[in-house]
Amino acid sequence: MSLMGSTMNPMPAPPSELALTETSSLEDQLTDFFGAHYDRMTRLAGLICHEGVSAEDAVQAAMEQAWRRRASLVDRSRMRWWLDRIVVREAIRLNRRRLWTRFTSSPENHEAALPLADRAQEMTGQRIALAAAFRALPVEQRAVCVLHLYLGYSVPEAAQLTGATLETTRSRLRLARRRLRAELTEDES
Amino acid sequence: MTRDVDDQLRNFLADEATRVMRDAPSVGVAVARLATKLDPRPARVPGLLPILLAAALLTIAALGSVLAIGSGLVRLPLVIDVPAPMESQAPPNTGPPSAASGNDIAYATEEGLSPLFLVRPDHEPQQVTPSGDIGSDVVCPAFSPDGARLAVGMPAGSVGVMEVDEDGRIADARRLDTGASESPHCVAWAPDSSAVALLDGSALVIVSLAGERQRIEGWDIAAEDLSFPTSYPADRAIEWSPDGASIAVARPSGTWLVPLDDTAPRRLHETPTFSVSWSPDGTRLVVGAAGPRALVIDVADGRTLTEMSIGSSPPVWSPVSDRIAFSDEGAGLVVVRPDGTGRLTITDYGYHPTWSPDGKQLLYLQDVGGAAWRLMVAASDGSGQPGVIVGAVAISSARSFPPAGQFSWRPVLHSEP
Repeated sequence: MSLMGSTMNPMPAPPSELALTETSSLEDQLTDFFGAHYDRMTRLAGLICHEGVSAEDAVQAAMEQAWRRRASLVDRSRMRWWLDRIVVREAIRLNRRRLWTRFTSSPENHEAALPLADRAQEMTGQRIALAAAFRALPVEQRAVCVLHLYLGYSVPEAAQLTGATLETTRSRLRLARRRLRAELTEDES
Repeated sequence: MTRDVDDQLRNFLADEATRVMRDAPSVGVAVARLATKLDPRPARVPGLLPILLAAALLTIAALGSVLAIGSGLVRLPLVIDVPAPMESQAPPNTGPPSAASGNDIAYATEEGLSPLFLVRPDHEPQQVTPSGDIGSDVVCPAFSPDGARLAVGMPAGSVGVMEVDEDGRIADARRLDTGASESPHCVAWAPDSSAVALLDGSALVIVSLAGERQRIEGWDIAAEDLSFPTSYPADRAIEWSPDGASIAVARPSGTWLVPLDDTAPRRLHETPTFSVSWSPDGTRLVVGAAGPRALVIDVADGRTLTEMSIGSSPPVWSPVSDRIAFSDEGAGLVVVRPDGTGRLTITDYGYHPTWSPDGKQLLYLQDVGGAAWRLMVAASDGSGQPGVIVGAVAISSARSFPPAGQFSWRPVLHSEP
């Protein structure tokens, strides 16, 4: 199994880059794909997940889902896109459960889930504000930001990946930008 | 200004991504965990030499681990693959004061193949599988309508059926050969308890307890699965009509009605759906639809009678009355009339509602921290205080909370002592 190095390549690859052939078995391709794209999947899940939700869990669950549902992959050249969709939805699902937990868990747990102060030494004031604002976004808005601004998916593609309508996705991106802008402006003032 | 925010966010996300990878396990660990989980084959009996080698390696590894962990060089793995009921701050097995039924409740502990337990209020949960009768984890326990049997989905695509006596003891476990794909399947019972149905991809498979099989396929319309995810095995996606004449099926292509005479299946509604639940009189369905929304559909003509926003749990119709239970967007457990009126909040927090056979109570889940859940029960009219059936059930780190299909309430009331 060949593994991707640590060099970050977040942009979606064109089908030709995937080097997938119809001759090798789907299981082999999927296994190789897990290895080659594990880092990228982990980054994707990690950026979507709130503190306290493990990106590792999201990726593990996504890999399991992908394996079990591999027969539903019709176009193998779209494996990357297909896998990203599963990772995104698993990450959102785990975060929703996390949110439900927060509704009823104790204040101590809430504090434990927000160790931002631990990392404050690494960041400037504006970066801290941005980190806090991004963390405070609903998980669906975070997902759209990550897919569109970090991974380079178009807004319609981000809509399909998250399972939302185009209008909803545009709205989520707009709301996220508005909130982040407000936080940054407030920090500057 | 938008560009400025975007640029800052891109830089921030790039830095965060690097941090994420610092904390992640290696791909080797992840793939090994996956392989361990997905390979249900029993271990082969090895020869003597491999046994001796393995014993030697294990001894060395154990000594090394003790030293490494003790010196702080190694972190213990996160995966705990032996989930089991455990005590929590909430007292276990204390049913609500108004507990009306002493029925057994079957539950699987996690999403997908999991250990199966049987519990009734005021008793300790009893592990049913893996056991001598059925040696594997299972999915989707489902009591037959007559309460005499419990069906479960098995790893190789078969269905396990167990006899359950009045005291909850399991006997005569056997497998039904479904002829379906080698994945675990969730079944729905026929109203007369004579057969089970399951969804195998887009085919509907019906297997009688006598072993006769019927496979109905070619009716579904290939839907673009990009806008609507379906979990597997399908969870509460099929349900037999109360009169036993047809089966309702939730599919990405919509809601289908599959008659069991020779007439053609009919697409009732085109909205992608993930769950179905019949009204007791068989005239309407409530379906979980993309959104997520609950749609009440007229079975006669497929009209949408009501549309309601819900959370991700399947909406379920009371077995005895015109009430529908669901978990709303904020995870509050509510009961409404089919027209959406009379909204009653049963509890501020709970999901995967399951009606008691008499319609007087609702079983539901609550998270306990991030890695455990508890089984609760409340009166469906909102009276009294919710009670705890099972205090807390731990799930392993790489697994998810059990979906609604992992719970079943035994339909037959036990005689009062």
